[in-house]
Amino acid sequence: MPLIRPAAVTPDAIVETLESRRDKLVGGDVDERRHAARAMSKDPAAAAALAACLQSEADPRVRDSLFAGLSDIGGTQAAELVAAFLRSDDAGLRGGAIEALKRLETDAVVVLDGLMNDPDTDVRILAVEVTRAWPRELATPRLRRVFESEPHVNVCAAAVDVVTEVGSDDLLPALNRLRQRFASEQFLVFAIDIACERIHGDDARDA
Amino acid sequence: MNIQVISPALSDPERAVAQILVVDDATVVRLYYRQILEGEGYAVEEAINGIEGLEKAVQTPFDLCIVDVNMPMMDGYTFLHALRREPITHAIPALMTTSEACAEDHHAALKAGANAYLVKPVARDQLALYVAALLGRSLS
Amino acid sequence: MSVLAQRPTATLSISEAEYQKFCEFFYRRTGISFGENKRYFVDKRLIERIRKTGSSGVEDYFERLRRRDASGEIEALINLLTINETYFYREDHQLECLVKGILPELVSGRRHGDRIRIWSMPSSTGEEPYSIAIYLLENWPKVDDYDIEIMASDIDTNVLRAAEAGVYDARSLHRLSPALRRKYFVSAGTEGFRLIDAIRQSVRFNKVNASDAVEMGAFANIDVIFCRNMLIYFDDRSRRQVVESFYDSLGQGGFICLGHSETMSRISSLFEVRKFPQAIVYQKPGGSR
Repeated sequence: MPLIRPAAVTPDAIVETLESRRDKLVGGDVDERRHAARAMSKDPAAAAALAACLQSEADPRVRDSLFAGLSDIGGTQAAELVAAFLRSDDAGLRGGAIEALKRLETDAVVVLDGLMNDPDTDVRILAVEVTRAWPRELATPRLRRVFESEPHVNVCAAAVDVVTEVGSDDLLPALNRLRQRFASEQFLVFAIDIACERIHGDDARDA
Repeated sequence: MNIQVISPALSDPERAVAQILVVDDATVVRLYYRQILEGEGYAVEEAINGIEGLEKAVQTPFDLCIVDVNMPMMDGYTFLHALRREPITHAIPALMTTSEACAEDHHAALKAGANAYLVKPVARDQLALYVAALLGRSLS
Repeated sequence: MSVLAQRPTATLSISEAEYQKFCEFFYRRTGISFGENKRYFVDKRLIERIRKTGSSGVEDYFERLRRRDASGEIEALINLLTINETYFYREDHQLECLVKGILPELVSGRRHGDRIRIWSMPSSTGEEPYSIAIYLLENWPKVDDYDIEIMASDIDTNVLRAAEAGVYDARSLHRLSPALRRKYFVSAGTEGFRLIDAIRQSVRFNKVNASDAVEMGAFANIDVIFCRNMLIYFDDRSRRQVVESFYDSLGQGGFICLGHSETMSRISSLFEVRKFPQAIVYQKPGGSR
């Protein structure tokens, strides 16, 4: 009979020193590096080391664990370390940073407020996306500020997409003004009309 | 406007509609492209990141995919690399979109396997024109 | 919240825009799309949850779903919106994929008598792991060439007990041919049908909490995992962790199969997408640098 009843499983306890973990963070194979990153997520002092590894780690699976480690550690220092990767030339690092910042929730608010005023348009776009994970009370004032004073159409568009999910009635007037401000931008007008529908069941022209 | 179309799509001229996959994590973008493309007579499917994009691309014989750069889980470049590596999907024409505007990104898109590149926001006739060109269709 | 957004629940209905909004939320979260034809099905269940949670209306309920502590409610909602039944040879296109695609690839470097480890979680009342056993015996030409271990796990000790007993009603067997029923089951009178001992004893059942990394860590060098219709109920953080545990339990080149409407795209980028004629499955990349 080719079917063999498996032996009983018992959990193993693997004990490692912090030093051996740090060594494996750069020296080991993919799985060793991943486990080292996850193990270090228990140690708040490891945040800088995890971020430093992200500068040179190419494997997306290990990057995933490094970002997860940073979001598990939490706190404003970790948020700042993660937020730095929004500027990266590597789309994978930017994406990983956004997801980690979402997981950091309110720990990331201060650094993100700064980034939403960053001179770089692309950084502002990515920063806006993070507000999707915030409770309405936190997200709404930031989104309103974008609608009222953000000059770049793509940053506004990013905020409008967030608002289709997160938005409430009190943003409708600001959306209406945004629609007038960018009346010639086909995509943005379309997006605002969708957002208003989602918020209240009719479009901005009636608000 | 300089359209670099490296390899036109090989679509069946007998087929009335072409099938297009839109890969973008923004809901309003997918809805906008859907409205434009369905208006041109195309069938549209959506994905919100590169992994879902690949899952759909290996199951349906799309004539074109439109893919954004910045997406969670798997970004547009990684998606394109995987698309080109996978035998089932390697020849699907790809239009890459991004909110970024630097020349290096244009090169990077083409190197990753995109056939053309558009900077957002995309106007309606611009999308229709690029899609038709990539599908080897006349717009008249 | 403005007065406009509130409606008395006695006259609760879901507008077109609210339905769209819900569908977009659900699609973003699970990868599952509802079309207009599912309107009645979804509306009814949404309204039920709005009432049960004491939400003041659709808006309020949506905010509740977005909150940090929403996982219990999301689970309740998904339970209502998905069809969750188990029977022998459910989604057997995946079993076909196992035999025609996955196993041939896995054993290409292996010798006669080598071990193959298959893990079914959640095993529920056992139909899935036992289906794997029967399907392999019936359909894999090389089944005698290897030692096949089938492990089955669930968090619920009641279903585990039922699984070990191996007694099923006719509904559970409805996809099995009369020949298969005769071959693998004996009558258990009014209780239904009892799986023959040879199959019952070939599967080991364990109580395992998928969210417990230590319990999950006991599984190693697994070749194929069947995890169907479990991850969909977990919140973002938990399902990432569970998938990581699965990844760690697999040997290099190992496979994981999810339920046919489930997707890794909402959970993790650890796995590669693999398309076989019968199914899409996910593979742990082999080789490491």
